[in-house]
Amino acid sequence: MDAQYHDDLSGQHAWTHFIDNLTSFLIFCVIGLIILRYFRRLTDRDNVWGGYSLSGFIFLCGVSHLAESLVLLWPSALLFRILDVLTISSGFLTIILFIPMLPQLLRIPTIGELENEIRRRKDIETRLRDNKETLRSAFAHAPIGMSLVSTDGKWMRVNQQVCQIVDYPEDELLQMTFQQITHPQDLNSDMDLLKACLSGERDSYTMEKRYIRKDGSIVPIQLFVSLVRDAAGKPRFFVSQIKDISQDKALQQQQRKLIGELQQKTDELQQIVYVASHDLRSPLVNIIGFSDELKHCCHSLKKATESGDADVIEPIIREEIPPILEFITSSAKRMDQLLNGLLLYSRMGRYPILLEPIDMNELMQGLSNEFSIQLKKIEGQFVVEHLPPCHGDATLVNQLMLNLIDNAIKYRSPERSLSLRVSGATGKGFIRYTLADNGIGIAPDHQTDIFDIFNQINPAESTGEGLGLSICSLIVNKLGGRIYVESVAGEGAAFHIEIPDAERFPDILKSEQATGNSLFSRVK
Amino acid sequence: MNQTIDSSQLTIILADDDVGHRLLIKRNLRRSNITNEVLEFGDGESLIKFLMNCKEDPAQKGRRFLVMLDIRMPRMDGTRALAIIKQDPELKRIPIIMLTTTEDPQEIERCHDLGCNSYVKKPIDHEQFINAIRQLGLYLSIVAVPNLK
Repeated sequence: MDAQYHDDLSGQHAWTHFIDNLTSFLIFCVIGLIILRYFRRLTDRDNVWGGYSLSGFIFLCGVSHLAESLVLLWPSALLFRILDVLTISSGFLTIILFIPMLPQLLRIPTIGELENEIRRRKDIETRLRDNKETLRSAFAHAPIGMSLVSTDGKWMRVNQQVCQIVDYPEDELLQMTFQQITHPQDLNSDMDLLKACLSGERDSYTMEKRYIRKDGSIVPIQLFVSLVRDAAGKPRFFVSQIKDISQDKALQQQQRKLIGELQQKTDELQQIVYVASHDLRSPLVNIIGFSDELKHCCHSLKKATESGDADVIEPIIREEIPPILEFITSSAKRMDQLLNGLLLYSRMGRYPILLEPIDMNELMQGLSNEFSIQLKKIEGQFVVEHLPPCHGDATLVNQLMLNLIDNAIKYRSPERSLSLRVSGATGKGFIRYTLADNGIGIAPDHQTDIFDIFNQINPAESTGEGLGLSICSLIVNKLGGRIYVESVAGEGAAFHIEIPDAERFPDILKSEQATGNSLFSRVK
Repeated sequence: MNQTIDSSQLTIILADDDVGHRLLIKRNLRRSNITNEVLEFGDGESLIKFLMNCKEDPAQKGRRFLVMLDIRMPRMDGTRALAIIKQDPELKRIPIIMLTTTEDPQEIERCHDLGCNSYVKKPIDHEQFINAIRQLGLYLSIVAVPNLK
């Protein structure tokens, strides 16, 4: 039968048969190679053998065709049988090897599904990009400084605010560590907190500290730091937020200053109340005590009159009673003086300042006239040099000069006649007037506390109520200036008054002037 | 009681800047039959100077003092004088009565902290003063005022 079949393949048919089968062989070889290559690339190693088997099967099919094409040259029935068996077994092997893959093969996505998947992924990518952009701009445009700092302190990312706060350009800052620009005094506490974060004691911290800006100036900031860890819990970097608090600090400082001033005023007031209550009480003790003495005298007089003992009556009336009365009167007078002084002091304290240019020469001329009789009596010499004008409250300045002249007369030396010289000079931002006398002077220990309220060095030897210089000090303070004394004890004293230029007057004075003060009229 | 004081030859020192107050106290002392010698000082500084001189002067040996000290005085106030006396190993046993016109609890506490032995408030009426002197006499008889060495 074979022989007959092959006999038919002669002539024209033989050539067609040969070419057909050879072509088929080549096609099968190519397909087999493609499949082999494809499966060798697969990552799923389990199915590589399935692939090998499939390509082997296809290759064997090709070989069958090759044998067929050569059947005329080499007609071997055995060869065909062997090839058939091999082809069929490799076919079975392939099927067996592909059976586990069947469910997977059945689920192979269609092109439409793949396109959908691609769109979905692109969408996600866009959203991710958007999110990233949102985060980036949130970081960049945050109203406070934002930065990422490595665990060893290196700036990893900073926004514009950080650069502005510390005054470094971004690229320069990114080459530095935060330790380099932290104020040395704040570094230790910052490092301690940072280490506590790294060791896991805490996740975040906040502190006030100072950075040193590029120009060397210091900027106070509020720092908020938290540590970011990776999935395994290993520290990755720090997120720090930095807020410039120099304005807050300035406000705080101003507040502290105001509180300090208020405290000083309160202390002053408390001292006044204390001293006033003591100094008023002192003469009162005398009045009560000596009134009691008078009562005793009356009692003695009564007894003497009853017994007709005239010898007793005389000394009581002549010697005992007059000094007692003298003590009572002088004590009452002292109380009156003190109350007047207090009233004056309080009036000065509430007096509304009226700023105006003052012709000091004119003012001193007025005072000179006022004191002329008194000065003539003590043969005092009063010289006023040409004085520069100043800007202040004429009533207050007049009171100030009056008190100082009065003081010079009061504390003149008993050994020589008084010489008082008033001079003036223009300084930088202020005008200085000096009243120099040749009086008893002031010992160095007392040169500052003479301006304290009620402080008198020789209370028994003078008539003042101890308020003159404290009123002077109050006036000068009100005008924003200062008063101080230079003196050699026993030789004389020079009082210096410095009053600021018109432009340098404290703003508070100007505002006080604007609002006025109604209390004054009530006290007056 | 008066004998205790008299026999101790006690000198009463009055340190007060107000002449009137000193006179009133002296009158009250006399009225209470206390005839001891009374020395007067107008400020803390002169009192301390006097006491320091007494320490040096052999003629003053054996003198006994009792100090009545006003708190507010010029140059050196009473509390400072008190502190100086109480810190001096030789003067510290001198009994000291503080005199004051105010009853400031803080001030009283401070004086006690510094070691004052008694505290009397002015103005003192006669009854009160006599009472105070009686207490003082009692006090003096108990503590036996020391001599200056």
